[in-house]
Amino acid sequence: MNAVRLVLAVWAISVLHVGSAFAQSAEIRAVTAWRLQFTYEITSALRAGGQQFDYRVTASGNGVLEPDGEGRVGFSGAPNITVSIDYMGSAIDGQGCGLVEQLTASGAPNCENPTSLELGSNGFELDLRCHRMPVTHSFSWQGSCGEQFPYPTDGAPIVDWPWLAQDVSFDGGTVKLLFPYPASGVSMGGRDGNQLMGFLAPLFTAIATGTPTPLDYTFQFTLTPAEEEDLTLEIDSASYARWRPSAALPNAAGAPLDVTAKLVSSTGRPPSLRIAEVIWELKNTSREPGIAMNFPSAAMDDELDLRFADDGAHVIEDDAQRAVRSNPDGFTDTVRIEPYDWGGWSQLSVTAVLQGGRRIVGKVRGAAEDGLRVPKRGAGSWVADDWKQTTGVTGLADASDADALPAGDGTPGDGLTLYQEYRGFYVGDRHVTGDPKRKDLFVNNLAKGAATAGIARFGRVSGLKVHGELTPQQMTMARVVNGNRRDGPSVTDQHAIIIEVIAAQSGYAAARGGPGNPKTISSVQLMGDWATLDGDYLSKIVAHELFHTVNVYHHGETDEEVTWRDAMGVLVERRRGGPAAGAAIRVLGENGVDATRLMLARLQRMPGLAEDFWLGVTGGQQSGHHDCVMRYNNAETYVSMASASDRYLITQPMGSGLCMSPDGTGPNAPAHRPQSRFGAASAGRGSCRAQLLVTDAVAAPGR
Amino acid sequence: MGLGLFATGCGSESAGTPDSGTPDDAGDGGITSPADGGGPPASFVLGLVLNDGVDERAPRGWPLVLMGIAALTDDVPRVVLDAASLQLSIEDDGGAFQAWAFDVPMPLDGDVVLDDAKAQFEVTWALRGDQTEALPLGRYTARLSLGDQTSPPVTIEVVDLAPTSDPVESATRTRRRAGLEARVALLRADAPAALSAVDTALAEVPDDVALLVWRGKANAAADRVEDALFDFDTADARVRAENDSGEPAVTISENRRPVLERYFQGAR
Repeated sequence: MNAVRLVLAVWAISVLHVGSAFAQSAEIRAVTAWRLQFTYEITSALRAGGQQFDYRVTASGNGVLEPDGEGRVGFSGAPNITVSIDYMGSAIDGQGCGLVEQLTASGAPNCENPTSLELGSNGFELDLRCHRMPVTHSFSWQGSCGEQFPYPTDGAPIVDWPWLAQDVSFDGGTVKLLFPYPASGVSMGGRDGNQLMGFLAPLFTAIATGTPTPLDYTFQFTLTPAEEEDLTLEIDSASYARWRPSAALPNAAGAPLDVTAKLVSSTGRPPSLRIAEVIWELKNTSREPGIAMNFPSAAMDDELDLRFADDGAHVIEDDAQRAVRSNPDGFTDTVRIEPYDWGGWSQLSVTAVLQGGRRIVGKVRGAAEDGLRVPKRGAGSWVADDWKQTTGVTGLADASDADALPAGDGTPGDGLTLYQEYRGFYVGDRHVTGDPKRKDLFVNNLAKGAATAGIARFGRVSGLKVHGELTPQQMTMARVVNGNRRDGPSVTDQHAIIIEVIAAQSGYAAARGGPGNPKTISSVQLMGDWATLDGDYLSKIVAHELFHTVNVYHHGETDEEVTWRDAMGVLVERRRGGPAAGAAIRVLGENGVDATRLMLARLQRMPGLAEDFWLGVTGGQQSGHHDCVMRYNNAETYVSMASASDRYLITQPMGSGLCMSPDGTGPNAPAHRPQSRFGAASAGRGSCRAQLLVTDAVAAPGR
Repeated sequence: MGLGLFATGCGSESAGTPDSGTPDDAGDGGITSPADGGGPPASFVLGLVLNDGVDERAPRGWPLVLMGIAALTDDVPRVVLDAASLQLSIEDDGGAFQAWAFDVPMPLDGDVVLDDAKAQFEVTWALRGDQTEALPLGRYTARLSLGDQTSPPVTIEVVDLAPTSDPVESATRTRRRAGLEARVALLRADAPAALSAVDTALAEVPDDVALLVWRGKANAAADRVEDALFDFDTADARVRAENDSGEPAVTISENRRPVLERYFQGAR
């Protein structure tokens, strides 16, 4: 058995007859040659858990069938056949390991024998005799796969593909369809269409569920005397290649797309038949809620996202999904499509009905596929090609969440799929798209200007794309920023960060629920007395707390609060777990100057002749890289390694960067004199840049 | 310092999507790019905050403070801003611009360079209590703009506070009002006025942490180092008693740090 198998578990066929006669008329017997024109389409799609695929084959043919003998019973010929195959599939397992698989082809198939037409007594029989197509097959591993794996089948590389879905017996078999003769006239035609259940084997991303998938196909053809005029309906749009859907507020259309259909004769002269009617249709139009991922928040509508504009020239029907124009001037007609969603999609078709009833389906010149994908996009994708090209992500699937920068803890993504980043978000008073290569983070800044500089600093230092002007109306009550979704691919509910000032909270800021990823952070709370701080320092505090919202930890947690007391002229220190009476200490500057007397004088003014201090320790909050914004700088003293009763007095600035190593630097370096103050960060801490985690799709690891 | 360990972000990772919100058309209204105005686009954000950022209400009779911020983002490593072009606009509910007679304790003019070393600057506009008495009641919207950049709007609701018999509410009002008075006084380098405002309030709300910090700052500004340390230490003890989060009181430690350095001059 060939490795390429299109296994159809259930075979059903229904032939839709045109006309009803079963005897050929004298007019038909008189025809000396037949022009065959046909279109063929098969589609299949699956969305099941981590697995999805889209399969689409379109084909068209046009050519003359000449008689095989004098009797004009058998005809054969080699029509020009163009086939386009697009398959895009992906499968992801519970560990985030995903496979993206693609099968494409475009051009002429391999035709084993001439197409044949047999005019029998009970009808005519058409046999294409053309079954296989050379294809390009590729796949790639994405996500958390630790290494490259071979393709998960035992078959040979796919080089040949049976593009006719109903070709169940393609190994030598044929498509022979019996159709009746027309009741009158000489134009013959027919349509064959049905749904099959089967497997697209050996495409792994199609067969992973082990369940047959529906395959819908249609085959339409006409047979006319060969001398009938060869006409095509060409679709064209000047802005199509760069156009993407958009929307305007309030509830208004975005920038429209104009599409023109033109009837063209192969003779190069104006067609001899007039257009009686042009029928435009939008099919499979999206109904994503809202107009962007977060606006209006928690949207529930199912409005159609693309609609025909009412231009007065067309009759607009079916919720603006059908536009009909009768007796257009000349041989062209232009329709306008209006978008109402930044992520909308549809399939545009157009049919010209000529005088006498002949119908011609429009397509782009040179294309095998009927109609037009709106916006211009690949098979199985809802993202405009132009946006993918502009952002440099043409190889990514809509469902991918592969943002690589900054690398952080190695978890790719920001909880937003490629489609969601493309559809975009409202932030403040404008629409923005996500950055598909850089991780996006959204901040609802209720603290206004108190946190503006800190958010900007956080963005600069982290390398994240921070959207700091999200309003409360641009997320759900649960802080979700990508909640507006129905069919668009999603990986998780991604959450925004709230920053607020708490009037009653004096002295300190906190990321409530952190460190963790955004879903765990109820809010970042700034102290009510923030205005007492220098602006630069305040911005570092805000940045520090924001790093907790992406799972970055302190450099350690073991610093101590100690009490120094004047005990009858002796400076004593009480440490946690130490003797209640404390132990005598001496206070020195790092230059060796004894400041014990000054300290005692200071304590004279304090209630109880005592004061509390933060005593930094090796591997504590003050340790590690000295210029890291995650390092605390509040400790004012540390213990001498040379004499356990000596304390060094210090002041320290707060860091401004983000460290990539746990090593102590500056005053924490081993070379610092009189000693390294606090040494390297504690085990598992430091290397803050390598802790960063944005996506809510995983549980944030503790450290 | 191992500078090689740090990446402070200068936009090299930006993908620059067409509508990603980067001010790529920021124009030249008060903005120049790093070298000559013809280079990469300027990139900064503006912010504005009313008083302490807690409440949209601005009681008449209280000082009113609007602090504006311009901060460097990650799209360019350096930007030069013409601070004199910074515009504060206030509109009433009907969209009519207001001409409030702001005092600007920290005026800025000329070029301001934002880079990694100094990534932001602040400007403060203030009205004294007697000036806010004259403001019409109502709802206003304030925005800060520079070139084509505009801050998110800030709502200001000018109100008359009804008298309260609630001691907690009364203490809150006293603390917030005195904090604003001390803040404006210190911006004007008027330490005695700041001390007076805070001392009066502390008589009603003794041991209030924020007011103690303001008094410590005022004492430090008046060169009363030991008094300043006493205020900070008292505030610190108060926070430690109230705060069970383990977070250090950074508003205290950061304000106390320069004062400690002065106190222990020579011992470090």
